[in-house]
Amino acid sequence: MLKPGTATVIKLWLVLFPMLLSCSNSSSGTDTVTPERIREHSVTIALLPERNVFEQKKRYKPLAQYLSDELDMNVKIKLLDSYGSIYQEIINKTIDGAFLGSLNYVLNHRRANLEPVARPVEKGGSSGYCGVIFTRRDSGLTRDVETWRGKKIALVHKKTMAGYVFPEWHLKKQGIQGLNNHFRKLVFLGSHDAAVLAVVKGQADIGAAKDLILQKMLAENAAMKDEIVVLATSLSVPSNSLCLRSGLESGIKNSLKKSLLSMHETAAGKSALQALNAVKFTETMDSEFGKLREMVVEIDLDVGSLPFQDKR
Amino acid sequence: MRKKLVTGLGLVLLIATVSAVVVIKNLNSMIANQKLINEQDVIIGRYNEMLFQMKGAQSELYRHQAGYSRNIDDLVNYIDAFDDNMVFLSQRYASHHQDIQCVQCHSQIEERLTSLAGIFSGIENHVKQYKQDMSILITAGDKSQLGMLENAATEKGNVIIGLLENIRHGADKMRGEIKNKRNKLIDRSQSMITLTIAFAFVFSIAISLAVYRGITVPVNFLIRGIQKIASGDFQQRVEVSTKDEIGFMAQAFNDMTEQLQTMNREKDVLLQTLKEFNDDLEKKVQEATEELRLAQENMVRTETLAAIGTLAAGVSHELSSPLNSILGFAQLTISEMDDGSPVKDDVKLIEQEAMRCKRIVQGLLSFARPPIHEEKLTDINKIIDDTLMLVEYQPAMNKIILKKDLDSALTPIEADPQQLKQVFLNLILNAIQAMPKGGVLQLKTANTQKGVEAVIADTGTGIPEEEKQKVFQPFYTTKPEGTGLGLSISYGIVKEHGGEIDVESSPGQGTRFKISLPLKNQGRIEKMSTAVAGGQLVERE
Repeated sequence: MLKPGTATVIKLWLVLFPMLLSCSNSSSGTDTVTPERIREHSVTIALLPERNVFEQKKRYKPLAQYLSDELDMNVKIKLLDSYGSIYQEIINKTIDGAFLGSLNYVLNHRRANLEPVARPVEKGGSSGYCGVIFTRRDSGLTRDVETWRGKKIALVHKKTMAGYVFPEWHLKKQGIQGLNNHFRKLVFLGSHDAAVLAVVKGQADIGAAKDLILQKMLAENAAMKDEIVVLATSLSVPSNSLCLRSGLESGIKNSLKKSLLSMHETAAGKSALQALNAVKFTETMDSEFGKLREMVVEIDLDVGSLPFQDKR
Repeated sequence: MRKKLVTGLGLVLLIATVSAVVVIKNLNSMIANQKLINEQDVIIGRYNEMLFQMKGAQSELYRHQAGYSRNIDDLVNYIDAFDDNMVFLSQRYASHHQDIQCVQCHSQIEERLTSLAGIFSGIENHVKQYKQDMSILITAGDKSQLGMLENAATEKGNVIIGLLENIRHGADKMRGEIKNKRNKLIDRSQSMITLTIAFAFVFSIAISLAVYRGITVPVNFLIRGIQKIASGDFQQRVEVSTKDEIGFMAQAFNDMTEQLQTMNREKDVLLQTLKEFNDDLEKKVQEATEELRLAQENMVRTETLAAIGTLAAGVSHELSSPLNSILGFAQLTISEMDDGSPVKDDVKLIEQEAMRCKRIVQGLLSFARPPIHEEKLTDINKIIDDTLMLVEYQPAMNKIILKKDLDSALTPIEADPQQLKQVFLNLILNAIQAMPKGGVLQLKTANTQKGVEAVIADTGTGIPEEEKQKVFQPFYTTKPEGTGLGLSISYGIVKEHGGEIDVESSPGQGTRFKISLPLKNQGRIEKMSTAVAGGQLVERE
């Protein structure tokens, strides 16, 4: 049995001790800083401005981080302001590869010695895309290309399949030679989403872009979904594939390919894939671009003499 | 003591803990306030970064559009970083809703935070459109759109920069408010910490002194008490009235002292008893020594008398023959002499003296070798009465008072009655002769454990102390006409009977002889006593 005085002292201690502990706890809380690792090798991968450059950067940043960790090297993302700049960047070796649209690969395959590696597979299982020609529902335009005559068309870039080659090819199939002859004005907006927005905002009567980007924008904006009508759709071609310059060290190329093809097997890989709205990467073969090459031939596009340097 | 120590230590620790809590709380408040300032610095830094990023993006756009650079990475990175900073600041401000610390420093904080959230929302929308325009602008190939897009992007950028500068101004103002609060807090905390430390110091000293005194005072009492008790003062008690270990120790010490005192008293009693026992023992030793000395004297005397007896027997034997011849020839001569012979008287004198010599020789023979006596059952009282009949007609008896105290139940003993009668006769006559002017003659008998005793006492002249050892020696006499053989013969007879004869005398007071005689053959005595009881006693004179 404790004496009253001792019990009082113990009670006071029981009150004060947690206070003392709380004081010590509240004073602690220093943040630990882990220095960033310095990696020896670097690989720079370029992204084409097929959509909002900020969105592009945001989508591919997790992938770059994943590959950096997996390969223990700095995998950098470089945004290009134009489809035309890809050739010069490859030639100058300022980039080691790029996620290229199908036409850009076809155009640069031989001239810049590019090798296809892999491309993302979307949740629905699709790993390709189509070119679409679309208009606003209230534009009065139909699938009949004659209704398109004299209209203002929003295009992406002359070196895109969906944003230029497909409309050219579609008109030629209808017996019409050259976009300039059929449309009142051609507007090259540089990115697919800019082309879509131009049609939505009424800055153009008709537009051409990738179906994937159009569908994504329509899904994100319900009001836009009712306003846009697709008038024509191309054959499917491989979606944007990682292509590496042939001169890149084979070990790095193999490691990159291996990491991409197996990244869906790890949690970190799945997280990076989620940012791309993909479930995995699949290997891309040069032979998958055969139909596109035929399309290019049919519109008499001279791949060898096509200037790649954009004029500013 | 333990309670005092625990209580004192507990109180000191309590004060230390309270002080520590106060100090730490104040320090924590200052640290928290400093954190707020740091955080506000970070926020302002972020605003500055955002301003720099937005202006950098504007510059990059200009460079790109002017054809100085095809690189849009920096431009995108500026905007990305701008976005990150805006997300960071939005979250940071959102976390400050209902924050007490914010309320303490800033008035109308909730309204200000709501207003900030609105501004951030506006900036976010502007940035979203700015990014869209920018993206189109840097990728567009149609020169007709560039001017319009550039103007729109520049205008939006300027709006964003203007909003940011306003917010940063507000943040600067908030930092000033926090700093003012911090300065006040530091002043108050310094005072509080100083007061707390002073309070803790003073009270700790006071408690320590109280505990020190509470322990040392009773301990000193205890030590002083112990020292006094150690010096032998068992009356001393330790005066400690505390209820702690020292009190218990003092009580135990007092109990121990009480026991020591009791033991000391018992020791004194035992020592006194021992001393008395020692005195008694010494006395007994002295008595035993005296008895031993007397026994030794008696033994020496006995040995002396025995030697004298042997000598006397030899001398008597040698003298007997010539004395008999002298006496015989003297008597023959007298018988042959005429009555008128002038020498007849002389010869008679020779005969008388010869007879006298013969008696002396016979006396010596009796001392040395008493005549063979015939023992029979003898009543000492009767012996004394018969002896008195022989002397009662002495003229000297007329002046003497006779006191008889004879035990009627005196046990008969085996003895020679004739010899004992001679002993008593010698002693009674000596007593009568010692009282020429009269006195008291006392005769007494009694049974003893080993036999019987008889006492013959007078109130005569007494015997000097130095003479007492000689009275039983032959030829020792104080009388002019005595032979000095009476007592020596009596001594021999008593010894022959296995008894003892003692003398006690004081000059002018009288003399007392005590004769002790054993029963000897007890079985025979009892048998004879039974016969006497049945009227068969025949050997009594």
